Amino acid sequence: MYRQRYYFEYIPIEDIVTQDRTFCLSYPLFDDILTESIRRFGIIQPIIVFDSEPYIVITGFKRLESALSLGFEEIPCIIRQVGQMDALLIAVNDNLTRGFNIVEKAHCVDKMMQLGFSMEEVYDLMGRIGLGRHESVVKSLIGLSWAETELKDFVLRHRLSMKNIDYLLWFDPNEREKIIAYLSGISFTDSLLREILEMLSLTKLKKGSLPEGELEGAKDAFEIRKRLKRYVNPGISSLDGEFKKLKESCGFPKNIDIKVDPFFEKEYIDIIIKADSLDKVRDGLKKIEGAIEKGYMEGIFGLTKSRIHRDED
Amino acid sequence: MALQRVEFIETKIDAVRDCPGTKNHICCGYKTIDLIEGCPLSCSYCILKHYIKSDVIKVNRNIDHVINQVDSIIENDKSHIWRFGTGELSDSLVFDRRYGLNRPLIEYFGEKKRALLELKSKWAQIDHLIPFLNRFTIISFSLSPQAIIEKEEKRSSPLYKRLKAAKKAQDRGCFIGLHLDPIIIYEGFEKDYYYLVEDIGRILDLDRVIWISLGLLRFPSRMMDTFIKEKRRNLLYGEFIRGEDGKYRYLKSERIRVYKMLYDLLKNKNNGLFIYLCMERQDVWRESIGLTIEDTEALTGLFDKRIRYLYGGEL
Ligand code: SF4
Repeated sequence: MYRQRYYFEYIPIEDIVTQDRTFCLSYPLFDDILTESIRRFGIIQPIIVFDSEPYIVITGFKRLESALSLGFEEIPCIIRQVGQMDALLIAVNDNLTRGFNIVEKAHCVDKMMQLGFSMEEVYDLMGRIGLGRHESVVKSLIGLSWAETELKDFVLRHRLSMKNIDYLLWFDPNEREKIIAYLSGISFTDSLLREILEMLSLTKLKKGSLPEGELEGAKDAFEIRKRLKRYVNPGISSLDGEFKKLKESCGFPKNIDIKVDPFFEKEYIDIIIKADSLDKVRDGLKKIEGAIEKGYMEGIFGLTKSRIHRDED
Repeated sequence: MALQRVEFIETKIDAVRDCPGTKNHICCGYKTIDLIEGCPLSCSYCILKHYIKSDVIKVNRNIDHVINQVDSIIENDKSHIWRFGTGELSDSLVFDRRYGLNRPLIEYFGEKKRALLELKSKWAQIDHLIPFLNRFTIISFSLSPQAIIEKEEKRSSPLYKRLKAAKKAQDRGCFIGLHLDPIIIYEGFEKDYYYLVEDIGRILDLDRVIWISLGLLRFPSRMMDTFIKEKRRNLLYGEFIRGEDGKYRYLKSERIRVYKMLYDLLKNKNNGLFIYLCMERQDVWRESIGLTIEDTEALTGLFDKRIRYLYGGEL
């Protein structure tokens, strides 16, 4: 195996174009723990730069960022003469063992596409870093790579799934900013967020804008979901309201309950009597009989059988 | 919208199946013939792309084997007048002029005179078939308002061409079928469907329409993501619920309202029309068109009656 020895040298930071992020995959760049370690022990592993003037960083952006924040004036560097594609591969491989977060994976894919790697090469890397090899995944990752830092931070903070990332990318940046602001202070699971985002996108599609009133002042994600459901499913909500009113009118004690299909799709209803004696059963049946006589049960069937519309027609 | 490649296969697997139906919804007892798997028309709401993952459209060239299977069903089960169709996993006519797939089937049904073949399509090219058509082949078209064709069925034939092709089949002595499926609830859809029914009544001979199916949009849950991603405003305009089969469908009261509206519009054109609902619940049948259909067997019986009425002793 051919092995090449690389020597490092200390280079003044002012000779490096610190803002050139062509090969930067890391996100976020600033890392407290790394900075603290560098403050105590210095930079143990040199960064790699292009043999150019001024120098362009290939790998070691986080170390450079820490060095800058600590006021270092020079930094250990290995100077390499390589082509752009090789430089990116060095950057990828240099970071591969520590593992990439989803934003960094997005950067990898995006930069490979920009530098003209073949689709096969891109898919090969995607396979190695645990991503599905599909055109739609590439598209989403490129979207994430170019997204604003608020979204990237939100994605990492809540460890969002690709599905939810896709949903957020679907909105325009202004809307995204608002959604992230509303959701920032509250906790949610990935599936709850998915439900919320699905309803938000549906509303956006139907009405052309976000239902901001439904998001404002909600105390938690469940409340947001409840409000949005009312907004997205006005028919179901009104049926539900009618049902609750009728149920209340029945005046049943706690041991009697009526359940309907939450979507009012099934026409049958469940009538539950909880009883530990024959008397309680008799009493329950009498109460149900009363509700039938007063027409409340008929009203409930009207809802499950969707008779309301026909009668109004 | 990638273009798919066509591949011919010679297979001896079962190509004739009962229409899959769906839980707690009444099916019409249809038999499907899988001659082609995949469709190049790529309608936006088509569920095929979610079931068939391949980029290849497979065409079964082993027609003799298919005909043998059809024949054995007709011979072994005489409980009904069976209806067979090739439009389940593809469009029945889209490849026909090029590959001539339907002709042997048309000829078989014409000679057998015991069952019906339905060619269901959104592709209005039938001139090449006209000389071979017989009364036992039903040419059927799925119809939508032109506004929907332009947005959601972009590659298929425009409405007027479908209606013209259907009329040609009628002029040749065939009965035709019409499928208003999927019916889509979008802003102003009532008006568009009103004009669609007007066009149907104006262009076609309604006495020669064997059946009309009505089916409101329904789709498996994973297609919701696709519709949102593709910003399919028309498809997502209505209010959806998850049905008992897990599919998204419109709220029941809406379904009843729309079916009733279309049923009345069509019946006003010709009271003798045979109209059925595709994959609907018993209560929706009852509330919208006033028919109590217990199950698939009962609906299949209604089809038998309809066919006997139109064909007399011929079948
Ligand atoms: S014509 Fe039918 S099979 Fe073909 S894409 Fe459209 S819905 Fe699917």
